[in-house]
Amino acid sequence: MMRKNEDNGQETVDGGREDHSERFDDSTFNNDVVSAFDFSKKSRQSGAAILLILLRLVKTLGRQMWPILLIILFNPNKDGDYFYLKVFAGIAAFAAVRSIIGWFKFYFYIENEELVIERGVFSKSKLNVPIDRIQTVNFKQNLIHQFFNLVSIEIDTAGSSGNEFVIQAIRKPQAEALRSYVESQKKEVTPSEVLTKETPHREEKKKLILQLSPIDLLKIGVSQNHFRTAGVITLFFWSFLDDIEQAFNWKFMEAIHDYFENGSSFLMIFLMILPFFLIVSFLITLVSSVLRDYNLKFWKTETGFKIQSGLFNKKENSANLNKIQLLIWSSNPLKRIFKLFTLRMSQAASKAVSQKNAINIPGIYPLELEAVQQMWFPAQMHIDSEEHHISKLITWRKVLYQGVVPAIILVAIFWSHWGYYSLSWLLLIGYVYWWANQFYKTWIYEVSEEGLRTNSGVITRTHVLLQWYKIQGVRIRQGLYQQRKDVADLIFYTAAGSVLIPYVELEKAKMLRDFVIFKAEIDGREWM
Amino acid sequence: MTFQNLPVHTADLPRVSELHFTQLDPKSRTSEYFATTVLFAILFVVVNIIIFTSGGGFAWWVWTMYLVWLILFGLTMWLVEKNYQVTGYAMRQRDIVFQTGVISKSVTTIPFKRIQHVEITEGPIQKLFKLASLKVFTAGGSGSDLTISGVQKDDAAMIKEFITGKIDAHDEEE
Repeated sequence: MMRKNEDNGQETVDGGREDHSERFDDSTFNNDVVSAFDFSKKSRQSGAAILLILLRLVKTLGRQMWPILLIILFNPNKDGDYFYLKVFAGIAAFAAVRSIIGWFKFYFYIENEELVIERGVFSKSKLNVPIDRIQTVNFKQNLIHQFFNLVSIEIDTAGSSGNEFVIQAIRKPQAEALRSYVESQKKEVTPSEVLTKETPHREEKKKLILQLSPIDLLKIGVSQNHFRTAGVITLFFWSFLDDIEQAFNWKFMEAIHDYFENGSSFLMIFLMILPFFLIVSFLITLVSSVLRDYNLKFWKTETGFKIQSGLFNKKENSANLNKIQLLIWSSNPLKRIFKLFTLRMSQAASKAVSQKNAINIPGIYPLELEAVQQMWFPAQMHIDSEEHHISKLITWRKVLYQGVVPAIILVAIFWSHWGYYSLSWLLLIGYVYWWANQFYKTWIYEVSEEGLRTNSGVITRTHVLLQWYKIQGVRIRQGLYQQRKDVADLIFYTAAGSVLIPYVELEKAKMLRDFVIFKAEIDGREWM
Repeated sequence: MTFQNLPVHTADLPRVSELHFTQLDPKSRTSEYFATTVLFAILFVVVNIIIFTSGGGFAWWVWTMYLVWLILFGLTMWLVEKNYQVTGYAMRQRDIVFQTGVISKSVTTIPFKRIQHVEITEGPIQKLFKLASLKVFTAGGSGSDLTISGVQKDDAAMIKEFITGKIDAHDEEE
């Protein structure tokens, strides 16, 4: 069995070269590819996949069982008889054997225009995915992948239930052949693209839109939301405090308790800890964004966009213009200083992978951003759109629920301790009023014949661009208060997420709903 | 406050709000009443067990608990009735509209050509009343998926066939 696989691998490499030489003169190259890599034969993943699988196993074991590992390292005979060590070794051995058998039992092939994945150690499963239903084929490489010239492929269909899967490691040429095969099958289905079939190998014609320099990366790292990261780190730290204490026999809690007893206030500790966590989180975000976005390149291809980035873990995503449902860009105050936006293109995908599948650009400048908008949604740029505000009622609603009610509760709580001073909580109402009013003022939606653009957010400004013909459902939703006041939340659903406009006058919401539904129904274009 | 630059007069468009909605099967209301009663009966038993194992007897707080139970029961029954009255679906030439909810009212419109598939399911209580739920799925597992819960089994099958027919017809057009 092993030998057969190696033979296959040999073929693969040769086939890859042939494929490249024939690419430019033969429009039937798809068939060549199929013959060079016989996808109709059952094939396993590359042998190096075993290494990858085992490494991943080590990683998961490490992540899930690190408290036990710490105990083993520092206090191996804690419970006598090396109990923890034995348990851990047992679990690790079982998992390793299982993974290796898993490799032998994993096959992929193409049969009747369907990509078939067979897998399963104890219970077998067979997954058939019609080729023309495949929405995206994305590549990923970590260091080991790069060393062996392998890629991991993520395949997704836009179905509602888990129809997405990963092939951990196959040779890069084979992966590329598989992808072009999938794409060629799809092109035959889409009538609008048959016209352009005269020019094959569109993959090759790509235009670089954006490339991030180290300075850009620095700016991106600096302008992340450090408070969020600091929060995550703090939470992480607290949640594992117990485990760490057990492993090292440290006594954090007691130390902190003593500290309190000595008269230092909680506020003092907080003020001392906060800068520390902020610095740590600043460094972490900086390093992680450099690792993740190193040498990020973003291209316009003939069918859509393509993005590649990463230092150790290379990642490559592509998105077809059709499949992009939403364009979302945003900036926070720091980013505004650098004139940077983050951009996200949401693609049609099943819920589980839509997050991963979106093209995320951590930093893009206004000029390039405009170019992308222009490419994806040329119409919006040329036709007029009307600006609309949401209802002012939202301000009062927010003041009531986020200002008045919490303020009263806080006053009640602190009354017995602080007396009249607790009334200072009422200042909260003023702050919330200011904030809610800003929220209302900055929430603007622009409606045109072809689509929608929303602008919202006080501190982080977020903008969404949406094409009417891609809408697959509209909902008008009203809470009790909204029912009384004749306003409603208007929600537009696409295959890659939804857009909500809060507090629209009911009449207006209904009118827009009727118009949008009408637009979606009469439009015959492929929408994903 | 209206939209000035849309190409068609929005007043001329087919209006969802002028639709006549088909109510759910009356049996669905009965089944909801039934389910609610069972739930509250169980709650009643549990509450009583707590009261009498704690040996409280009929103190004032026991009566309060009974009162709360009664009010909640009545309120839920009232909501069931209200919900039955507002819930309904309508099918137009090119889309399906579903309206539901009392406390949070929603009207959802989904064009047939954006529907991926339709599913009929039966819960245990529904089986008792020969009812079914009709689930309408759109792509991407987004929140626009509909569940029309409490239609007669035959009706559900008919609607499913109708929608599937519409989807197929649309596919052929292309």
